[in-house]
Amino acid sequence: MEQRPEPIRTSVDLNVEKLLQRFADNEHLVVRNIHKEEGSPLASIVYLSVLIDEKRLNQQIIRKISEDLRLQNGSAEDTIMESIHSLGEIKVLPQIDAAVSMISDAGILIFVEGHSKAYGINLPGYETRSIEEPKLELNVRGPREGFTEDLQKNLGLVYRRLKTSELKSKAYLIGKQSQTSLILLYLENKVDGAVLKELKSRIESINMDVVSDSAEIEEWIQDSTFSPFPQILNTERPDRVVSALNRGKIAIMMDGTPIALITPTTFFELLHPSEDQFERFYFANFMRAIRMITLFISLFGPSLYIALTTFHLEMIPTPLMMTFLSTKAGIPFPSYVEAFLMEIAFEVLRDASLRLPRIAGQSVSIVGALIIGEAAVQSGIVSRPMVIVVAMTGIASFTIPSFNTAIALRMLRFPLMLLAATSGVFGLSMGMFAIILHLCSLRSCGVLFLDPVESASWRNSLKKYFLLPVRYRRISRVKKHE
Amino acid sequence: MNSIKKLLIAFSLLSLLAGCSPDVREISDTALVMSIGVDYDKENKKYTFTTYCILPAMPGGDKTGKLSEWVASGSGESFLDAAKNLRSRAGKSLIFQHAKFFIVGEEAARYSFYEIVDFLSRNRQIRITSYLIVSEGKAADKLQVKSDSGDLISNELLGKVRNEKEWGKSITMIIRDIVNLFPSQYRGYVTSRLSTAQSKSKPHEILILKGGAVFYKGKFIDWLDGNDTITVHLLSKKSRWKELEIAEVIHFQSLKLSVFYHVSNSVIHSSFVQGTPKMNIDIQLNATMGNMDHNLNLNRREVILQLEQAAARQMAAKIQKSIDHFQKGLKVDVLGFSDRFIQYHPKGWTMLKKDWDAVYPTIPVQVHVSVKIEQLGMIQSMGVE
Repeated sequence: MEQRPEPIRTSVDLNVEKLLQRFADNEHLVVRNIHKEEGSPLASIVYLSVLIDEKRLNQQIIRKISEDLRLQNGSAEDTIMESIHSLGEIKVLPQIDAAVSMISDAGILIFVEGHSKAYGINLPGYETRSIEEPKLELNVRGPREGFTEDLQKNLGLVYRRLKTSELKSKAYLIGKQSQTSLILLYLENKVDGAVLKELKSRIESINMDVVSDSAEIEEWIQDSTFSPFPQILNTERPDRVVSALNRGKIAIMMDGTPIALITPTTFFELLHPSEDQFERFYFANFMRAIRMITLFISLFGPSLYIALTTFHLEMIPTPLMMTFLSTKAGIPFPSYVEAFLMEIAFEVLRDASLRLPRIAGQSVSIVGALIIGEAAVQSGIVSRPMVIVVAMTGIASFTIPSFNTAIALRMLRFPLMLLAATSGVFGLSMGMFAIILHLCSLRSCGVLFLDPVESASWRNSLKKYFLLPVRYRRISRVKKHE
Repeated sequence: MNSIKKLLIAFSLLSLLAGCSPDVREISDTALVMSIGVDYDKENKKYTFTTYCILPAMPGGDKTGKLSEWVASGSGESFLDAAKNLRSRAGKSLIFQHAKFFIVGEEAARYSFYEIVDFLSRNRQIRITSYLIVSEGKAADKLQVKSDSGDLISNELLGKVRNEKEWGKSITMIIRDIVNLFPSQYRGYVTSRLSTAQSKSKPHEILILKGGAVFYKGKFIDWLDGNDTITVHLLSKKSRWKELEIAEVIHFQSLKLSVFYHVSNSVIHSSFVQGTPKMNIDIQLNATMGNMDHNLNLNRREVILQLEQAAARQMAAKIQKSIDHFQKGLKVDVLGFSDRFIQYHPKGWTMLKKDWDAVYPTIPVQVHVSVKIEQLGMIQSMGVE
């Protein structure tokens, strides 16, 4: 049964009582009454003291109202209404529910005697971080601004870069308790309507109590929940959001997180940092080619080594084989056990150095990489080539700018290693086949995840994978797959 | 969700399989066979199969991380039998795919070459791109020889084969080419000859790869010396002579000049004149001056022309001599004249082929060599008369 929204009464006392009921047991709710003479208040100001800027409230709003009241001509209520309207952006709230969310959203609420409406003014007073350089997506060249936890600031960063009326936004409040605001941004003339409609319906379906980060939104709206691959790009760079909007994508920005989501996203976009567009195109393309190789290494490095050294000894060139032979002598474990040991050791080290404070983190990596690695080789527990392979694989996976894509690749390495250990290159190719099939079946908001590769011809795919000089760069827009 | 659970269970089962796969060959349990030697004892009808392997040195010793050499042989009633009997002596699983050399003992080449070629072309483990070499005496003994440089002998042999094009006095064939030429009834072929000599610097013997071994009608016929293999190089396919570099000492007037030649073109013409076959060989060489023992006025064009003519005469005589040896001495069509007649004169060939062995030594062969001295080197003369 749906409850009828509660209207706001004309009596200030009644309204304040209602609010006090709603906010019972909340120490921070403040009610300030404005009196002309003795008797019932003319107006009441209600707010949560922890959220708003009380200094501004006192110095600007209350002082203004009381000064106006002193010099009043006409009825007191009208004077108060006039002074409220001169204060700036005012939201007129007809219901108690709206009034409650106004208070929760760092606003003050003004009830005026005889008016069946509440007037809300946003007056946030909490501290936010100032704009800093992005922590995760570092660029050599390009803008240095990153998003903060404040949605208003973040939106400002985007709007400042796109001075067009085509830039549209749609706001949502997500989370029954947290009431987090979430904004969809898109360029009307670029976006694919079908994708937008799909995304809107997905966001409307979100059913959560508290949303604390856009990661939860990402999980909720992605196409395939159980895929190891992320299907939505996340970024903390406004320039990246802008260039994505220009390609017809939709940005999802949420209050309280510096991470914006960009959808629909394709697999290859996850592989490239935004910096590519700012570098000279030779270098950018060289790095794109390198990243293709590192993608392959980080996925298949150890498993290929296992397959070659346990099944296909004839595929190794003779001099290399002789080197392997001499280094593998006396190693007590078969190759795949060695690889598992080292891979797990690597993951442990990686995680440990991530969790520790930055200064201690370095010492962990030194102890881990140098001392344990060298000791393991010296004592003949693991062979040298295996250390090289694992180290190379680990470093290769760090070249992939999208952190969660790199994690997906690192995790997939383990089943691939099992396949390689059981059935060699045959198993490896089966695994590769399965991964490619899975990637082909993935969609991001209905757009093919492997976009440039699947479409049309090799030539076109390559053109899209590599960057042309800016002058010749044609912006390809995403389209929903029929 | 259910299917994912099933998939995960299936994946976890794979980890149990990892140790059971029958094809797993751990690298530390293998011995790499680098060269294979085969011998045949005609009297006892025994076959011997010798492998030259490298294996990791045992841990614990001070040679950890190094490779050690190991030569093992087995004998039996056939090559396969011998190779299998070898397993009784091998403590590691043998990997044959890396064997670069297949060394055939002289006796085996003479009396059981058919079996060898058959074995090699049926076998999957020995690469058909490995080299087949004939050894003087027993192949097994050659594999026991220590190398001159201290390297593995297989590496040293590989280097010797690679150096072939720089002097031309040995000619090594790969198994595939030998298998292709083997069935031919009319032409022979040459692969290189492995012998030993006393090392000048070390107390032991060392391996020498020089000269050739001629095969015809499926068996070993005779050895060739280094000058003859140069001729074989020069008159083979372009891939053989394209990068060939041969040195030659020219006696010109009272001078002794050393030059090295690059082949710029080499053509064999065949013709049938009134029912008799004739061969014409045309070779163009580019010469680079190496050194000379007196001063010669190289500024004058006619001196160089004379020099070129003298060099050409000398080279033609040398080639002619080799061809005479092939025709009259060996009576083996080493250069593949028969192939030319089959391809270019099929009608004439039908008459020839019946008594090819008798006709071949009588075919007149004209050798024409032209030499062009292209480079004199960095200097004109030493400035001393």
